[in-house]
Amino acid sequence: MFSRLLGIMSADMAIDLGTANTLVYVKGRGIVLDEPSVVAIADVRGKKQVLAVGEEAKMMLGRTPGNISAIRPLRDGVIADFEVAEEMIKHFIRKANNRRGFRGSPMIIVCVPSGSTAVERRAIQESAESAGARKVLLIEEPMAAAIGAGLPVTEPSGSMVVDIGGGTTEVAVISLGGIVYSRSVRVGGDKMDEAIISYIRRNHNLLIGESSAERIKMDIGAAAVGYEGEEGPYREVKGRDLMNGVPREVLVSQREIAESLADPVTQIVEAVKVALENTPPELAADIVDKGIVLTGGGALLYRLDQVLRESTGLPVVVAEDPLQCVALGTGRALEEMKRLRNVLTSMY
Amino acid sequence: MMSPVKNPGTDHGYGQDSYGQPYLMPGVGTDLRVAREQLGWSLPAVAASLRIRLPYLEAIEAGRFAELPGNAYAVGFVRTYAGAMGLDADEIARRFRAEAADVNRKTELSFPAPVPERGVPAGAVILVSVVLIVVAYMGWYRFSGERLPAPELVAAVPERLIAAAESPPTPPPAPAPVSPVATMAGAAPGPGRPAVPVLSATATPQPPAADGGRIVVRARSEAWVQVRDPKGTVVFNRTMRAGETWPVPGPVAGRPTLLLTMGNAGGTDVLVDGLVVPPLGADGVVRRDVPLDADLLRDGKLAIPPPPGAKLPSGKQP
Repeated sequence: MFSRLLGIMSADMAIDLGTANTLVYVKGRGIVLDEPSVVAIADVRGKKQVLAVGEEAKMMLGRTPGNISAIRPLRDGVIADFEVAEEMIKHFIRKANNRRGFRGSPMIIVCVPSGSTAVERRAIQESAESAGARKVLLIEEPMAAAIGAGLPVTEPSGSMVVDIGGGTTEVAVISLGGIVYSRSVRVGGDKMDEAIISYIRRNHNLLIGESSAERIKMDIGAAAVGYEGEEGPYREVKGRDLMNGVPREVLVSQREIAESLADPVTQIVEAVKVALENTPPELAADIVDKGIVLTGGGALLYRLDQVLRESTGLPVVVAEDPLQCVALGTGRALEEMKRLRNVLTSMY
Repeated sequence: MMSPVKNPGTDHGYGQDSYGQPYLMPGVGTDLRVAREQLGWSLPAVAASLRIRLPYLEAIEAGRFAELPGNAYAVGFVRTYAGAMGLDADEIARRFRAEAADVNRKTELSFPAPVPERGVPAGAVILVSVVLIVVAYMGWYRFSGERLPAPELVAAVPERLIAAAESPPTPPPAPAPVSPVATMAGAAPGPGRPAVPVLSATATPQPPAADGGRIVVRARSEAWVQVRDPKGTVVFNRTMRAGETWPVPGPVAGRPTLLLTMGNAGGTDVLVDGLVVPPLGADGVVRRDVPLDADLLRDGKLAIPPPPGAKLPSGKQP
């Protein structure tokens, strides 16, 4: 009764708590916040204090002095640092709610990777609760992504969605509002960045940071080259030379980046193939017809749809706004809670 | 969000198109086909390359958007096709959405709900049962109201009048034919009632006995009185108001003596044959299970003096 009263005065939210970015959808207002999941913590006389969260904190990533640490509290789609994650969620809730002076405690829907364990889900739920939520419900990420991409998930027809996030890639076959088969591999944007870092280190003796690697990936990253021997566009990348220790700049081509990304891309392709192998035949027939929908930031990797199309022989389309699909889907579950309550779970 | 401009040239068939004519606003399908033909691709080749089924590609080019699978897929197909043809995928997708606005709405999500187990909803069941209860009560009220008081009034009054004519001071017989509870229910504490035993005390004592019990319980002040038989069946149980009387039903063959329990022994008089018997207890004293035996009561065998020390079978509570 009292909690319902609090609910009237608060704006319910849906949070896509991602490894790379956190998006907050406020009921009736849409996506109001889209920031990197980074928290900068300062150590002031032995006491830890939050210095910055989000975009500001991301600028500090890899550039901090000894008393400040920029932390990404989520790794592989799940919470790695419980306290920092809680601070981050608290901050984002406050920021998303900044319009009114008095706030009740909102109901929050958070999405979790389909491959996460009960302990990891509970950690996410608890951190959202201690961040001030009245009630926390969970939704599986591939389901949210499929709803957000506008797939007809409740129809008796199979839909396959591949959500390539920062930490995990979720492959799921959905029919009748439920997940028929899902597979989560811990490969995503982060693994791609790491692959780029180690490739440049190996081939150019240059050590680059995570942010630089991410920038290169977004700029000229590709899953494959257009044709044999094509070099594609070049970009300069700056870092520290491993031979003599001085900062240096080298030029890398799209072919090189595609080569470096071959490993994570292969893993994603394998995950999709395994999921297809495990799909019941009737649903497989539907998927042959309609194809695979890619969502998540990884879907923006150039020619990834082409690689998947060639390796699976199925139509592969990239959803609109792939970065926002999960948040939109979670938000839709919040808006149409009565109808979509089947996809929401709670750990209690 | 969607552009309100409805393109009149959406529904281009294959044949009705002439390349030289500039369209005011050609359909997305036409644009895609022109781009494809400029590149020299055949539709099956595009289908094989993009893995999109040929009928879908044909539907896109011909503008038959209703044949495409769901909205998300249709937009995805158009976007992929446009990208492969070297067109601006975002622009083509935007125009496609505008053209197909009436065909492709936001995907409706409705879960298959389990069929309700009961045929009739709970609300209807409750409503119907409430109506039934009300109807049943009204029916009972009407019929019982007609049956009980009406014949009695007609039947009893002449008898009473006869009895009154024979011996005026005999009101106790009146309640006799009716059950005690019914009598009490009808017995308003009118001004006539307290006078009744006084009258009967001065008058002939026998008629009440002939009709029923010789004993009458009368409350002098407000007092709780219970009468039951030794087996525990309660015959009478209520708080009597000052002046109220209750005639104890007469002895019936086979029925044991009734037992009287009084919440205030001093405030309750027991009359036998119209005469007040010696008091059964002091004010505020509770007497339990006093046998309602007319002779014992009249002789004062059950009476106790105000100080304690009674030799009665029934216990006395302070």
